[in-house]
Amino acid sequence: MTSETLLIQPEPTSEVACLPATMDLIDHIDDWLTYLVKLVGMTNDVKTRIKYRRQIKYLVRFRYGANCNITHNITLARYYTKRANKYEDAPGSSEKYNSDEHDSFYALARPMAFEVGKPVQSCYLSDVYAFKQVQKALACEDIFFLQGPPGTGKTTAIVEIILQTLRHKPDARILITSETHVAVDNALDRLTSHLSSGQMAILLRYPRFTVSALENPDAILVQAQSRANALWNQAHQTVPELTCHLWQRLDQGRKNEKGKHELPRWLVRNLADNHQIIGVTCNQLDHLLDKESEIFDLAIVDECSKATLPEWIMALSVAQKCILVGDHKQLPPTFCQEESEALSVLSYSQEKLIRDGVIERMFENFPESMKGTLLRQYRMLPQIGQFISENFYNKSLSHSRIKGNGLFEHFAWLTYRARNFSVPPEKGNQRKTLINQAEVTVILDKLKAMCTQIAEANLLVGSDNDAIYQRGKKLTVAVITPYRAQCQELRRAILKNDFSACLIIEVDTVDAFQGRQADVVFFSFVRTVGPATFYADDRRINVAISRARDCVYLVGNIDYIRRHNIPVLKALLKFPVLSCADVC
Amino acid sequence: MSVCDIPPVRLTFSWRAMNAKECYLAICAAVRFGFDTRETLLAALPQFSVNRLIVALDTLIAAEMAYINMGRLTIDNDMLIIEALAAGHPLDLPLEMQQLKRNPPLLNAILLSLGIKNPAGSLVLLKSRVEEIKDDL
Repeated sequence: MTSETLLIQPEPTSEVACLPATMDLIDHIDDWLTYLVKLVGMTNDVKTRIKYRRQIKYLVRFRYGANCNITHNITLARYYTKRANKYEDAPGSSEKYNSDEHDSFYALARPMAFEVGKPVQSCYLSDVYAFKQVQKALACEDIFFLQGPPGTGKTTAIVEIILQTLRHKPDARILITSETHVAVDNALDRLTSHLSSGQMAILLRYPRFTVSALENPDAILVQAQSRANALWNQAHQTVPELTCHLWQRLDQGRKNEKGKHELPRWLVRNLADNHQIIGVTCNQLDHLLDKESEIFDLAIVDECSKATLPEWIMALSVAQKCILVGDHKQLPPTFCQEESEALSVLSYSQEKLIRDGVIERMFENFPESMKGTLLRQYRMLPQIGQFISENFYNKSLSHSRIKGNGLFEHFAWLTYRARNFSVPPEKGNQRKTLINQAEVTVILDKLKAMCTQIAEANLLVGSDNDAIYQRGKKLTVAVITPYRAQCQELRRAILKNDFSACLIIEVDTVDAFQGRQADVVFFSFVRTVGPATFYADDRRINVAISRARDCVYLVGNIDYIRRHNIPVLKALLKFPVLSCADVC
Repeated sequence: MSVCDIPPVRLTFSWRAMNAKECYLAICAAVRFGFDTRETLLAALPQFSVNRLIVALDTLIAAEMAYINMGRLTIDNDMLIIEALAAGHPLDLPLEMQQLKRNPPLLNAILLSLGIKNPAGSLVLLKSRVEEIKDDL
């Protein structure tokens, strides 16, 4: 029975009355299956179709309880519909063991729950609260939600959880996964810097790192291609004739459409068997596994609120314990045009539930022992952090950074007066694309001014000067906007200028920039007329502003913004106007 | 109707366990190169996980295509023909579809005529596919 059939049933009573149309997890999974089957029929791209089929396979498996740990199904099904009592324990932990008398039994019954004393990373010595959340995650047996608001050290927490798990269970198989490559890269890269060269041998990144600069350059060795090359070389040194024979006879993979060599599946699966800690995106997880593969003891899903239900269910299905790390106050999954069309076959409430994801609902309903929130942010300067904390996290965040780069530490408006000028164009035959040339010009002018200011600062800063701004250090700048057309226009305009001497500039949409950060953020509002529902969505503004470490420039028409009665926009209007250009 | 009037059918073979294909080939090649003990085999094939080698070896032994004697592994000569068949060499036969479909004795007879001594064992590793050859002309 799907939620559509439920809609025509008598009104539900008691605690489920407040729920949207989809009544329980199975119904919601069925909605997903309906949607995915529709998508498979709609899409012409073979690879995309394979991706959807894979998601269907894992969802069906989960629906019938053919995943690794049935407690996951019970827990998720229970807390999908019901909020936990204040003192409720996690399912499966109702029996209390006396740890003094039954140590060995306790360990057998709860092999993935660890009582942890001291942190491995020294940063947790000063952030006791964050370490308590890590301890809670480690003490949990089956599933744990860790909410990490922007800059609160989600990656650090992931690394600590892995290091502690390895300390307590040295042979644990661990999966690090996420919807995006960047999140997997960051976690694995950071982890490598805590491991010795000997321990690095247990790590595998499939298929490869996508970030351009790694914190630890040696991490490149954990890429699947490097691992495969090392194995063939090892074999060639031991048994050259046999290795040459096998090299010719066995499938060696092929180049993909981007011209990169793809390893053959048989080799990938053998590599996965031989490595303990594996980093891979949710959708590529199936490349590594077949019926002969060993299950994982722990799966960590980073940016889980950005992943769709099938994506994080895929990771959950192959592990004994799962830790979901994310922030439901940030953006939910994105759906492309084709996916949006397929969603239209569902009712409004079903569509909304699929679009928004169920992470927030699960998080709210989970018992205290199975969830935690990191509350100290290490990214933003206090004025940016306070805005984020007050508007999106009930003033619960504390801030640790005080010193910025010393040059650009504003949180201010770069506005303009728009006379006879509107975006999108309201009259005439102009295409109604969301491109705002005025904002492009304002941003370019400011970037040029920044370069001049940095050049002057470089001349002034002496070697013995204790200034915060480091000579020669390039500032990172993110130019982000809610709209793709404006993003492309900004990219084109910035590419025409050379700022590379003092700035590292990234241009992207807000949705795509989630998970990254920059010293300075330009946020281009684009619109000068029309509704604000899309760009002023709390979650989108949260992501946009919280990408900044030191400085936020709000580039928009302040008169237009003032016309809206949206709380978050009103809060932004309190910040000073740094410049006001005239645009005709 | 004479035999020549019957449109021929094409018989092809493929590995029953596609995910173990490389393991079978690697084990057989390694043993033929003389790496026939547990230690030498594992050292010669670092590209494979021990678990997958064991699973593949289990199947080969169950199919009576591999034998262990005094700690040494031998591979049956049938494996050479099986490997060639699985590589996709089709057999065009003057038979009817219905004759070949679900007819293990006939399939055994065909495999015997190809030189395989243990057709039942070979069918543990291989699966067959019969299709009609369509004359485009």
